[in-house]
Amino acid sequence: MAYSEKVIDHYENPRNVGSFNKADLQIGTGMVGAPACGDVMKLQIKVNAEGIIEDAKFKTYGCGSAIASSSLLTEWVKGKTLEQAKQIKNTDIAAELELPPVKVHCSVLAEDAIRAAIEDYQSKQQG
Amino acid sequence: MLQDLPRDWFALFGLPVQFEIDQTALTQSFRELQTRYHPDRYAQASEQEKRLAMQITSLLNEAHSTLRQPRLRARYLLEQAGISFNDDRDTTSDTGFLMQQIEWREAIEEAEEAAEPLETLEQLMKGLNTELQSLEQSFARAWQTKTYLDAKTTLLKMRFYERLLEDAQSRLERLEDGL
Repeated sequence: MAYSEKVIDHYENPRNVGSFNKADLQIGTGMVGAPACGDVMKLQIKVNAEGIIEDAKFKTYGCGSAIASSSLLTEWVKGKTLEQAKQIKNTDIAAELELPPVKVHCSVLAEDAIRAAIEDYQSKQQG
Repeated sequence: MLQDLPRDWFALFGLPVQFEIDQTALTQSFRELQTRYHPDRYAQASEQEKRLAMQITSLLNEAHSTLRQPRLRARYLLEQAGISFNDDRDTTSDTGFLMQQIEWREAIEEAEEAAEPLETLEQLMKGLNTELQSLEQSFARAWQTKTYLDAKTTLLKMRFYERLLEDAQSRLERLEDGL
């Protein structure tokens, strides 16, 4: 299967790979897995006092499309408010990366991961 | 006669509808049916019968390869019980499980730098197989007690371990090739 140039670019030069300290109150961590293929994605956001995502990191064990989806997403969420980040749809990611239909689930994984990270951050603020 | 085959794949091979399977009986029954419906035997038959024999042969192959593989067999059982799957949309968000997955992934990556990489990988694969077997046992129990959603959750975890095993296996082969 042919990957788009954008997928190859993110796959070969992934942005924002790494981890933040999960226990830090400023950090929200989202983890999701795709049972169809066994891919696992961890996405973390660092949120400042104004509620803006100032940094994001990811670690993805999966195919090129899953890595590209999470890499692209970390670029997109930086500088966004939590509400804005929640609006990102998997279809936006799939369109940007020109994912073929069989790889759309990789973008679903990224959307679920950012939502989970935001929820984790928000539940920490209440706790 | 060709049309009278049971629709249920377990019934097709004369096996009880359950997760535990007699692999020898499955293979034997598959071979018998394969021979009985082999397209060569229908060389003189009508076009319609020839086509049916072809269709049955491909159905038998699909049924056999599904039932012999534990995860696919489990999925077939759940689908027959009305549980649906959405491969594009189903995700796993069990954090504890996913953390373990990442730990396994890291352990497999680090194995290559271990003093005895082959042994370390083999040891990891042994552990992964144990995990997979215990998921299979949980699935069998959940399916028997008709707690189908639990059974589905268990089944969805199996693919992750298979993936880890595939990863470990290919690293093992690469290391062996390099020796």
